[in-house]
Amino acid sequence: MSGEYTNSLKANRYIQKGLFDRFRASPAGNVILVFLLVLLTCSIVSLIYPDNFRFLSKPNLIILQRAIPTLGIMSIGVGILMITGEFDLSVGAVFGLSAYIMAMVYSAGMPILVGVIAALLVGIIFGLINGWITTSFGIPSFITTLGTLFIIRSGGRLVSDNVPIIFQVPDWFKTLMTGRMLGYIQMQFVWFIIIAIIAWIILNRHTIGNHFISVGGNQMSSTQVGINVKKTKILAFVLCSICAVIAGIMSVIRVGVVNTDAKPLMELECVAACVMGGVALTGGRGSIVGVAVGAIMFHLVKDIIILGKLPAYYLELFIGLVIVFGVTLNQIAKKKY
Amino acid sequence: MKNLKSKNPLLSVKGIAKSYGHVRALQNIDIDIHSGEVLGLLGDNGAGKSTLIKILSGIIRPDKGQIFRKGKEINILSRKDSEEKAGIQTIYQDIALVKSMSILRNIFAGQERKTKLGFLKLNEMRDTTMQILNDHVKIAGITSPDLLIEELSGGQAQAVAIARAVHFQRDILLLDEPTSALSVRETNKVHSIMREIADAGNSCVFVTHNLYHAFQVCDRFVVFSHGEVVKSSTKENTSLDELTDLILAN
Repeated sequence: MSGEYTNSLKANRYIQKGLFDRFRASPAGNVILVFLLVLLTCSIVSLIYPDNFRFLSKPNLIILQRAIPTLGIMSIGVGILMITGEFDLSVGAVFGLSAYIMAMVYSAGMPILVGVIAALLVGIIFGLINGWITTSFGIPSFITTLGTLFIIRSGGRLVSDNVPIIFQVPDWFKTLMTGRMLGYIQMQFVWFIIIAIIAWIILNRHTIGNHFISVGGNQMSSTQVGINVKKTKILAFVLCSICAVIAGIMSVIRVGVVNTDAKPLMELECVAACVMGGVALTGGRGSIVGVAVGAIMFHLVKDIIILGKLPAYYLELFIGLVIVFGVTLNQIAKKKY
Repeated sequence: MKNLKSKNPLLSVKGIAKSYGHVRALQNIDIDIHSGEVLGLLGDNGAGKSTLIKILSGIIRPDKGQIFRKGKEINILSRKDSEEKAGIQTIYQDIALVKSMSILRNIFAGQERKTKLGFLKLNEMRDTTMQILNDHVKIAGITSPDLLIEELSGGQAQAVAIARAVHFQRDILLLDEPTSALSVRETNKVHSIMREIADAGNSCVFVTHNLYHAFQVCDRFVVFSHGEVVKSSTKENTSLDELTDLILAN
């Protein structure tokens, strides 16, 4: 009886909570609040000390817009997969290899779109492999993708022979992917927003999004209500890889140089952005807005470290703190609100 | 038993057997389920009740035996088969709900109302959810279909699971320990829902440890022990004491 009474109290407490409490309890609630606070603080400091802290300067805002999309787009894919209850540690390797394949195909004289399709195929194939192995043999995705991370990295070195490709894509493609709009707005950032909106629609307004959350939240019950868990998870792996491919292509087009070893530890930065954005490591909980803001926050902190002329290892310290305390704070918020 | 019970069973299982390794979970089970009745499946832990429910729900497959729907043999190979071929809707022992999802999304999980392109018809789903919660199971304190299941009490969550099953009911509603987390009032509500479903000409299969609950609502009882049926009787031909003794003896 006391259990029922406690449950009843719990229900009433939740039902009576206000809008602000419900916002804080939502997956993206805390990170949005922290983000707004940091943004406001940086803007004020930049206005007071425009020469010492050039946060609001045009070059800095352009740099941020160029830097955020790579991590942001990858994190959206990783976030969807984490919501489905799985991890992909091979995204960084797929990011590097797929961009290299695109450049290789294009440098061989094929049209750029063929190169893009080839890169996407590489991503889809590795997404399928990761998903199939994980779901068919019941291997934790952490292990499966740790293995494919090394396989793809070493395979990439084999293909590239550690020699980078220098290339220049057609102007129309470069402008489309990395050009500018209205002077300030970088196309990478526009694509990031577009992909975030598409991902939000998939997760919140499409049947498959409902299945992603359901499978991540309770695999057994999802099976019982007739959701194809295996198919759902494989699709999440594929979407994750596709996001890594898009991020990879976008990141190399502007500079025109690619090698397969691009940006080590990116997979962990993605996980950190997702955790910061309120995605549960256990699956079934998270939001695209949270992931996007998490990725922006990540670069915001990086920017502060650079503008403040702080040592680079502060960023690693920040990532570590985010992973440990981010999860803890989200758990506390979930219980409290 | 109500007069609605037909002579020909709605669903029959004949000679169903299931083993897990060396453990025989079910042996040679014959059960008929009739229209207009609440059938109680009784027995201690490990008696085989939940295994039978899983077979009828398409979660697991029997090693042998046959299932007949209105005299015609059917194969239940999946949850979809259970719903569409056998006309069964199931409420599971472990409350098949996702805690981090809203009531609305849980009720329609796997059975979403969607456009041809797969987009959710959320407004339609929201209206239907409120209708389900108001008409089928009036749950105190639930004001919005957008509340998360983790925001509800155990009893409220169980009631949502029942409301879902009742809404999507076919001919037969399987309820596996549906009242285990409910308050007395909510339990009575579930019993009256089962009675209403049976009186409307459908049938309910009620799996429970609680003999008092079973005796209150069921028309007929099948008692399981060690994977076998040890008694099948109508309410008129047995008593609460006899059922209790039978379960304790086995």
